[in-house]
Amino acid sequence: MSRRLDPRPALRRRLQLHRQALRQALANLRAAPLPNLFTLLAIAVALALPTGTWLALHSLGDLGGRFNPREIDVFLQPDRDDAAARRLADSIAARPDVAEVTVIGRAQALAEFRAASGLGEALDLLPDNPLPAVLVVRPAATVDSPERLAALAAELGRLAGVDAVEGHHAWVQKVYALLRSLQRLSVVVASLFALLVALVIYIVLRVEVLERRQEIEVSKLVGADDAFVRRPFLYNALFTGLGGALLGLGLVALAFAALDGPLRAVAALYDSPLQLRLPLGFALRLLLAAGALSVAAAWLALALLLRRIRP
Amino acid sequence: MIECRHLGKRYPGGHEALLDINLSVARGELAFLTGHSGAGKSTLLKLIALLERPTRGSLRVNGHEVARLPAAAVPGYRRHIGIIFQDHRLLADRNVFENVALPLRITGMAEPQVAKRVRAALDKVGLLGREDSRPAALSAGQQQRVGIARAIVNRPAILLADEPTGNLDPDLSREIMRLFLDFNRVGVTAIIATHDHALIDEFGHRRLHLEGGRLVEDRQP
Repeated sequence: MSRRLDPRPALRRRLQLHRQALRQALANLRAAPLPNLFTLLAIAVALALPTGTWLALHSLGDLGGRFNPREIDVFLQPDRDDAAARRLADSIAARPDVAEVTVIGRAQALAEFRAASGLGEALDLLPDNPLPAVLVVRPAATVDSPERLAALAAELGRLAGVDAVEGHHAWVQKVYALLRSLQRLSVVVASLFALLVALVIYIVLRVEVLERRQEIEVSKLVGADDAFVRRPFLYNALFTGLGGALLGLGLVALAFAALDGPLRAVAALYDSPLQLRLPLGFALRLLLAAGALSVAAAWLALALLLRRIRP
Repeated sequence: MIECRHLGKRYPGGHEALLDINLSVARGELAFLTGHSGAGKSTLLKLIALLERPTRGSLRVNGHEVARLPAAAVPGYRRHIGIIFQDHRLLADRNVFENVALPLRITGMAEPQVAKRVRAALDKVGLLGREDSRPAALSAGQQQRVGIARAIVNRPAILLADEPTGNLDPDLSREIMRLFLDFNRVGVTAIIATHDHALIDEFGHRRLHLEGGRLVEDRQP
């Protein structure tokens, strides 16, 4: 029968090594508060810029969705009366890609135009009502993209008796395309800034390793393995990454707080409740990513730097 | 305990630091390694501590061939060897306790046990009570004793000392040498490289003399 070894002493030793490394890392951070603060600020700014931009664009994307640009106005030919408009409305409402059709008869259209334009007296001079009946078409939920909305509008435009079709989809499509491009650009910029964070970690570690060269040499001399030497640096990198990300999120929150008032005022003009948001889930994911990125960058940097140090 | 057969070390660039060294140091033996600067004393100690790798021959320690020990196994091997240098190699930003505790902390030893062992090591070298002092606040002799405490705190089987009394006056040198004899008496194998012939004559022990990288004399006391 094979004898099973008790894993607890080994586990206790490992935990003790981590406790030591943690203490050492905190001591190192305390030993140079100002340089560490500058490092945190550099990482915070590097993370805050793409994060803030991405979140702001995301919020603007939401705003685009709230403009209700999905309604399509179908203008009938002037010779079509309200009864013809209702018949056409019924046939359009029967389509699976249409949720609702509202008929604005010619008289109602004129009344609304009179009220909105203030041209009442001028309109009285006209011999006939010049305005056509209008069908306001609200597409079904399955029409969920600017492209599908444009296709539906084109089909409605080809129906008999329809003079013209007007929707907001054209400019919404442009705005969406612009937002998508900007969001992709922000992802590219975020990748570059992530690289910048990794470089900051590398430079900081390089300086630290050089400063603590003697300590590393002596540690190796008395039997330290690479893991022992590496551990405090990795904890340092983890704290720096997490601290920088926290500070970066703080900067984003401050910037959003400053921009919130003016942007709400602009959004109110479009009857839309725009809000710059920093979701908790996103913040946690950013913290996790920043911590992981810093530790990975530190690991790679140490693999390069420690190889050159021999006791 | 330590057995060298045709051991050699050639550095990159072609310098032959050690040539065909054949020697054997038994468990619990104390040997002085003598020779002029550049004779190969430090290189031999570095080979035994695996701070350098031999380029020729065999090096057996405690029955195991260590010349080609995998790199990952070297730290573990080094923990069984206490090394003392002329320049002490103490960490200036740590106090005496922290310096001596380093070899124990590397093994993940629990703190109460670390404290007990460190105090015992400092007691042996006569520095109990100076735990909180920084190395800069100590004399050269005291610094060397801290280095010795650090070397013995892990209870190594082998002690290697490279010119441990090089910077010390004769009285302090004798004091340090007596410490080595004390450790040797309890079974620690020790190899001490030194220039100090008077000290060797006074303490008498096996003397290994190197010249130009060769072992030219192996004199028993």
